[in-house]
Amino acid sequence: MNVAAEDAALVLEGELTIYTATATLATLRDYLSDRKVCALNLSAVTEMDSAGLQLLLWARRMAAEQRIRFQLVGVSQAVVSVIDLLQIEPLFGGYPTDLTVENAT
Amino acid sequence: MAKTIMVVDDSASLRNVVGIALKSAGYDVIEASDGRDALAKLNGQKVHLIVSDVNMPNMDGITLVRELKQLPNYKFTPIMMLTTESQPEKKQAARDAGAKAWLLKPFQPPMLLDAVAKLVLP
Amino acid sequence: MNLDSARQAFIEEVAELLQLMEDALLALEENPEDPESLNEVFRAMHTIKGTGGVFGYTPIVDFTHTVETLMDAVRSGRMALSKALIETLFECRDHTSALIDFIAADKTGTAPLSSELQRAGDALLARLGHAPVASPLPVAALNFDTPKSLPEANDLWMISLEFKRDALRNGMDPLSFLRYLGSLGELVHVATLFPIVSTASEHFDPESCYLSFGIAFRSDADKRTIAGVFEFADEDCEIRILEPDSAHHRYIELLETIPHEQVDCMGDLLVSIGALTPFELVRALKTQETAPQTIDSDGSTSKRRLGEILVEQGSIKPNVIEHAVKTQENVRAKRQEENRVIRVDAQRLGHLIDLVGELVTSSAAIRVMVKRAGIDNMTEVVDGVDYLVSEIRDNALQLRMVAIGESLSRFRRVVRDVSQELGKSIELIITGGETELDKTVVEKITDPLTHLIRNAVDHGIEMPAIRQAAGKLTTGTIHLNAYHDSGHIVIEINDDGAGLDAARIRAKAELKGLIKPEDVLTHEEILRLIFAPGLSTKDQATNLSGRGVGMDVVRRNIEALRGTVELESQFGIGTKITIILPLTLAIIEGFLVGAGRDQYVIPLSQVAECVEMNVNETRKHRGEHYINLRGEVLPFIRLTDLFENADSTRTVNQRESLVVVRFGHHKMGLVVDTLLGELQTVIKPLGKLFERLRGVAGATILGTGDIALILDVAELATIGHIHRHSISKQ
Repeated sequence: MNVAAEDAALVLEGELTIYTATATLATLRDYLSDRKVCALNLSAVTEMDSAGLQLLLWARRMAAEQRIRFQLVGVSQAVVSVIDLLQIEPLFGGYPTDLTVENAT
Repeated sequence: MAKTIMVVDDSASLRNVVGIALKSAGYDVIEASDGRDALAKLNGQKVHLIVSDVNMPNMDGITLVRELKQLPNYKFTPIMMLTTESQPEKKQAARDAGAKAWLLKPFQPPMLLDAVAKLVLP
Repeated sequence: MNLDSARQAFIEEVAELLQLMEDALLALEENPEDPESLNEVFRAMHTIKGTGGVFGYTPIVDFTHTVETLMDAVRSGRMALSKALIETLFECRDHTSALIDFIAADKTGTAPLSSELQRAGDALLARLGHAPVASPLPVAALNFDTPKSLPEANDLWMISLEFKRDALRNGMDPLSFLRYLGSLGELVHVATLFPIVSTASEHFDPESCYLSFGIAFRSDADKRTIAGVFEFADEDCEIRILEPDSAHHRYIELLETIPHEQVDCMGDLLVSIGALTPFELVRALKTQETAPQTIDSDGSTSKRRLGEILVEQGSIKPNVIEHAVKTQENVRAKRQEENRVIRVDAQRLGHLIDLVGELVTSSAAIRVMVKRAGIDNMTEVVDGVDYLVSEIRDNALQLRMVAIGESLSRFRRVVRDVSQELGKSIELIITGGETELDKTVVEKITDPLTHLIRNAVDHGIEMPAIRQAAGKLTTGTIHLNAYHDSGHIVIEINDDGAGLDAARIRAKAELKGLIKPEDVLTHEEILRLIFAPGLSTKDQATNLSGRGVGMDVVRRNIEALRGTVELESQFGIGTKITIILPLTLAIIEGFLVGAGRDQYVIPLSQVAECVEMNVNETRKHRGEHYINLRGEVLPFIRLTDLFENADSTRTVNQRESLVVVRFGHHKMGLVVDTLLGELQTVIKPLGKLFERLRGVAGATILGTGDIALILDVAELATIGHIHRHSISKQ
């Protein structure tokens, strides 16, 4: 997990599932504690289930409470398939335009 | 990425048929002959669904479910039990242990694929 | 049943349905949202379409289908019922009626629709097409915060999934189910609800599931298949699946075609048509079992209704339940009705009644024969037969009795149409609709009644402004009332309109030469002049009521039914017309009298009393005979004078009898030679040769084989009047 500057993106890799949910939540709390923007790079997420989705929704809500921008700066196919299935693309401010969708598999 | 399914049954021919069906549908398949064999073969690797018989030597299906629910890597993994109409009490025991899906034996491969797909798409 | 009689039955059934539709439309004018009436209109069109289809009447099917579809949209709230639309629906009703008339007239059943009808239908359909059919609810408006009341979309399944906290831990991943669902159809819209509003104050366990989904789903799969997607999640998820309206239609069609023996259990009924999955049924039954029993007012306990629970659990739409309940009720009612009601050809019934009439006569003949032969010990048997015959007669006549209500309610349309055309505001009140009378009388009285009611609307009730100026309510009232009175049915038409202007009627009658200026007439007599031919009080006749030829025709029609019509009116206050009719035309309870060489039957219901004739009490005044009957001056007619058949062998001193008869509110006396007693007898029409014979309603064959004339008392009285007038003119 690379956390560089205040507006640097949080990179989440591998499984974004119930098995990693507790750890990922801790990472997200940590990341969001002192931020100007909530930027998540999910281009290396290999698998996402409902628990993973809930984490994204939770982070988005927390960002809104902190009045900081929430954006996905990278999405993998695994993430895109969930977003498309639920038609929640607008929720996450659309897909990043500066990045092509990477196929994490 | 193909999803992985473990099939646990003491009947090799059943494992064979089920394995072929699942593989043709696009899943990766790990086969095990009983509960103990299943736990050994899992060995920490990622599986998305465990399909298990109830009555097996060495370790039966219900015990397997109880064991799985204790393992950090498998406690949230969906488990589908293969039961028969004549064992309603076994079915309830499996449910209580944490297996929430089941398929009645005997079944045709398409029925299995349908049931599996509800939990995990290939 | 051959095809012709089936066709006839269809035509009759449609007439009934269209009448119901009309009633419903009238009710909708009052209350455009009345669900019962909306259903009624829908059902009428639906049923006509369905049955019409069986007969292959494509124009009817096409036309009613469009109206049915429209009514369904209205019924489900997708379209508002405007005044203009009600108007159009009235026209659709009339057009359907015209289509049926066309079919009824076309014996071959294959004639193409006349271009006129085709055009009229097309024009109506075009108007319906242009009516604003609302689009289905926009899915974006779905509100999943309150999933208890799922919004209903048109052709989409609505699925609501509320996952429980343990779902993920149990290996149940909502996304998996949704993905699988996607393989059965199209997820048109998915609303994802994540209820954690404040991350700071609300605990969030990342392994618990907080998700709820609302899904608008398009698929051809049946409910069982769709519910099957979530079969493993039933413990971890609240699942509600509502079928699209298109499926809803299918359910309702299935409900209507389901064999009657299958409808006993509501739950099974719904499962059998696929509206409900077995799981949903079990869940609801469990809820029903555990729900507290309510205690009714009568102290008995009752379980919550299953339908209520199913709707609450979002398993089924309320209108499907309603339909199922209705199907159940209908079938139950029909089962009972099947035992109660048999449709019989009216002609067969008529024949039976004729035969019963002959039986009555024969039975009377036997009585006479037995009496003549002096076989005393047969009298008892004859009495028994007589009793049975009279019972059979009463029962046979009862078979043809129908409540007058249905024919009276037809006048709602007349009043509505005519008053609307004239710009008047009129309320029609109908009472006594349950009063029964012979169907043949009902059919024959409709025309005269229509005329009288149109008159009341046209000439009786004033324009709202005039009414207001006169200090009346702007809405006029016409009261139709029916009741039984001593073997007759009385129909009253009472309006609170302008009333009849006696002075003007008199002036008009003088102008037309009906009366002389010097004639002395009572108020009632003047009013009755409107029944005279060629008198219209309205200077400008409208096209609605007759042009002054009407009232005498009305009177003649009513009198042809052995009825009378009475008139009361107060200028400025209103008019009351009273029609008195016999309950049946077939058999008469008569009083047999002898006068001169002949015997006569006086309708028993009109006989007030019989007294001995006291010639000393009679007076002759201006050619008319009067008798002082206990202080009352009563006009009388001597039958032998009237029919000029005095028996020359009879001595002058022989005693006569006076039969006091009443008709309407009047009384008069008939002087006869002998009183022969009561009898029941069948009326035989006199035939063409004697149809101009006044004062005689018909003839009957007596048990002795003799013929007796049946007197028409009202007509006898008129003869008296004419007699008087002709004298007074001299």
